[in-house]
Amino acid sequence: MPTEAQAIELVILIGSSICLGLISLIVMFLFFYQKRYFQQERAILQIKEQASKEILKAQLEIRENTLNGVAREIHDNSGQILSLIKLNINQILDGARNNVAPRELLMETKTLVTDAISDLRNLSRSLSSDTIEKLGFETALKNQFEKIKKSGHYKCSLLIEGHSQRLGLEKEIILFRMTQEIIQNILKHSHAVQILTVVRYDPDQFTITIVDDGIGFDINEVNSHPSSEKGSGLDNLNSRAQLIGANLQVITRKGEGTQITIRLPLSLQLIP
Amino acid sequence: MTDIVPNYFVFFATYSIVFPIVFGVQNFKKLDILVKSLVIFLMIELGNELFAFYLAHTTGYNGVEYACYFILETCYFSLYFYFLLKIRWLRALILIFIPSFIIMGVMKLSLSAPKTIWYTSITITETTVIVLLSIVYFYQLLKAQVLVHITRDADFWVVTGILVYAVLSFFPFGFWEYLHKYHIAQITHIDSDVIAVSNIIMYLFFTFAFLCPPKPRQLN
Repeated sequence: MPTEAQAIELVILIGSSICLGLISLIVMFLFFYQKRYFQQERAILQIKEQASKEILKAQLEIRENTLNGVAREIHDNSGQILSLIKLNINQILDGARNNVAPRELLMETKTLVTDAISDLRNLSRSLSSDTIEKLGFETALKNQFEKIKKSGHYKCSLLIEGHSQRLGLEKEIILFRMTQEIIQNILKHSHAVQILTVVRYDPDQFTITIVDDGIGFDINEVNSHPSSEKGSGLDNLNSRAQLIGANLQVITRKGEGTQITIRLPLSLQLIP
Repeated sequence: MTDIVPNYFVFFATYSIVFPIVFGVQNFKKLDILVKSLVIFLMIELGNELFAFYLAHTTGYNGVEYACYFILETCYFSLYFYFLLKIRWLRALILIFIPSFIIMGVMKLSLSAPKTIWYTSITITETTVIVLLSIVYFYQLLKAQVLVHITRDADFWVVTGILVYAVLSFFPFGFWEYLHKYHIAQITHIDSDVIAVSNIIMYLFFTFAFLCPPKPRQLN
């Protein structure tokens, strides 16, 4: 049996070792935890930066798209109307020299001027950079479809189901740009005649489905060549969907049209 | 426990429990349900301390009462870990441990009370279980998908407080029976002082936990 002093010594030794072990455990934990925490913070910061870049890129693309549309509109519509007005004015001036007042020509010019004013007003509205912020995703989408309808080449339908609600500016910008990209691809490549878009607001989910009756494509082929134009387009759509926590589904077959669905859960927080 | 010599440090340490209770009650609405339960448990502990004080003055002996409270405390801390830990088999083990520990404690008390002043096996079991569960909890925190800043994690401070208390209380009570064979007179005083320090540290950590801002619910 150890002596009294030895017993105390033993207890102090064991006790001190245990306390030292405890302190080491807590310090080590705090060290590794903080290390991981800072790594996580850096990753979040990177994601945030990437998200802001993506939003800015989407905004610039929307603006570029709008400007292209305006340029086309001015060239195809307003320009032609103004040329007609100029021709009419020349004819009116000729008539004036002969003291003839061409009333019909004047009436026609008046109508042309009214059309030109209306066109310019529409153009000015579409040039407004904060369309989505002011009008919201839904109205911006309606305007987009109006323009496509006006061209007369496509039958466009836009159905809205459920109670509309704002989704947050960043999400709306990304969603609008995604929709614009999908529609542009349909117009460029699909040879479709009909485009049907269904926007659905459920309590926990926002869904937008775009269906066309075009030539479709082989999704496996596109996935096996991700660097192709279609492949990178789909990749771009996918990465944008991920950015806002949405899910992208593409259903297509050669010769059978395409259906693209974007599902956005409404309970998720906005981009971190 | 039997020592009722006026010792102001021990007295302060015992009743410093009032500080976490005050802060806990003040922030009660903001706290998570688990941390809320700790506030209620601390109130029970305060009641126990007052009762132990009464027993020490009337009967001169409160060892059995403290031992019963230690059993309750260990069960509560184990339940706390049960809700914190996500490993299924470990949670099942905790559920098995709680009734086993109660049976062990009751048997030990009924066989040896009031001959023994303290029951070393209760302390050893309590400390071992809490250290193991704390290590698993820390590991779980390190491996979590989303980490919150440590100052916002009330559970971390609660677990650290429990761990520090369990380890420090092992120092006096874990060796109680061994040292009492030598009839060392100073042991009671040393034990009281160590347990007082461990109490103060634990209450300090609990106070910090009650002052923590609530954890963010969802991160994307």
